[in-house]
Amino acid sequence: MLIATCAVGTRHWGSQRKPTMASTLSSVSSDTLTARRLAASFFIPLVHEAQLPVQGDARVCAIVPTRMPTALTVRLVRELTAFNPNLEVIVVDDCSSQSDEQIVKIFREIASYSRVRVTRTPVNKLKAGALNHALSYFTERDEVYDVILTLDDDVVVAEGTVRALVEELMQHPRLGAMCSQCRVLNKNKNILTRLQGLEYVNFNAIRLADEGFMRGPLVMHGMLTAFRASALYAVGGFEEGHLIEDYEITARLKSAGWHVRSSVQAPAWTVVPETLSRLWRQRTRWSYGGITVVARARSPLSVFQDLLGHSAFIAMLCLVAALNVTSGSGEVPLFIAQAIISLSLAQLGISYTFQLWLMRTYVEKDKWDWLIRLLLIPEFVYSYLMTLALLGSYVFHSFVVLKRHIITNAAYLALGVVERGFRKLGYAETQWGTQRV
Amino acid sequence: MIHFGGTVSLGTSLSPIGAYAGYLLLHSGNYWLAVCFLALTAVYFFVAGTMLLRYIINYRRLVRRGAI
Repeated sequence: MLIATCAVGTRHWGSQRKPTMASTLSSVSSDTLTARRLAASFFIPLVHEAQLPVQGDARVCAIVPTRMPTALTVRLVRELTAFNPNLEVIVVDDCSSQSDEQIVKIFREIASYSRVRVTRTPVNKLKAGALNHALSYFTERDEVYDVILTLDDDVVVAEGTVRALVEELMQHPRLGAMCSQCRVLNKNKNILTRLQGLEYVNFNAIRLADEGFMRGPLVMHGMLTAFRASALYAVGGFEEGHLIEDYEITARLKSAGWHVRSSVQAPAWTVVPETLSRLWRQRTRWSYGGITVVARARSPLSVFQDLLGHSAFIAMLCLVAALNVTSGSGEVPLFIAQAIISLSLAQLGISYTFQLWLMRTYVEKDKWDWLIRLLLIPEFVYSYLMTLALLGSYVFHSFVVLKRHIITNAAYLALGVVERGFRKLGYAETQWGTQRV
Repeated sequence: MIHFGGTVSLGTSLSPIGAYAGYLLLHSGNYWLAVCFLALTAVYFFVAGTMLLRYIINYRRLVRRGAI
């Protein structure tokens, strides 16, 4: 039903769209990614040359969906409007509590800024639904934009962030979306937030490595991404019912032939979970959500990095399990075991050196971040915790698939108990996509 | 701890598990499992290596453009 809603929306939105020079040039029909070019991009990523001059008059609107706004939401809206004189901002209240004095006061303050509007969803629609609500809002009012920004409600932006995103996006007609750099606002809170700060440095590095490879990075994150409005409307907006709508929309844009990338000149800061339980819930949502996006992807190319990652990881698990339960004849040439150990240690050495080099790109680092990175062990422990969340997601995904094929009442009751157990462990098919709930 | 850039987490790095598997192989001695594991280790190494290569190329392009 949700998909059908999106499809209807596509036709409706499409009819509202007036062609612009950028949208005409950005036709993706000419984008022929041959198998040879794709294979070559493994080694040498494709180049996106700027094809249009900087357009200072692009019509831009920022959508900020929120359910429990805080002082950071007010700051975000205030700074967005202050830093960007032509930017329109629409804050989507996704059925926040109207009896909470604090929240009502925050919305009143937000609405007091010029070029800011607040709209409320009729029912709680989760993040993708709230974003679609804003898109419908524009359509109903015949408002046409060139670029639509989507933001989390707890993001802090720099003065030039939005300008950098919009200018780069409008200069490259093949790009459907461009995301900011992600940095951690509260990284000094404790060791967990510091580890996430280091992890986000890696995320930014991987996004840069994936530029020009398989149509670009895997995820244009929900924290702050600029979408070409024509591309967003053409693919039907956001698909509701997904745990991670940012990955889902990126995969759909790439399936439609658009390229995506991140901008190194557009920093943005977000608040990361400060406790293990909240981090665990966030990561179970990311990992299970990622699996559902891969499972439903229309084009393998759009989720290629994940397909490769999941396949290799599952193959490795199977092999380690097989090694533990089988006993061979002892005829393994010594060089094979030595080669495996050598390759593994070489990879570790290269990775470690690269991680240390990456520290030069970490603007907010201090001596404690250096210590954590040098010690290596904390990041290993952290990464295996994340792997545990991934393993749980495989089990939960198998459970969900099984549940869909069970038709007897007794089995349904039994599965209901199991599902409650999964929910306690942080695995669910729908959740609001912020850290605070 | 380089991973594949997806939502598959950092822990998918083969480094410690690969070394552990190599140790197991030294003791169990299953030839075909050993060959499979060597192939998988090589795939991991290739993917991580090419990712690093792409990073270096894209980084140098940014430097040339004056973006960094």
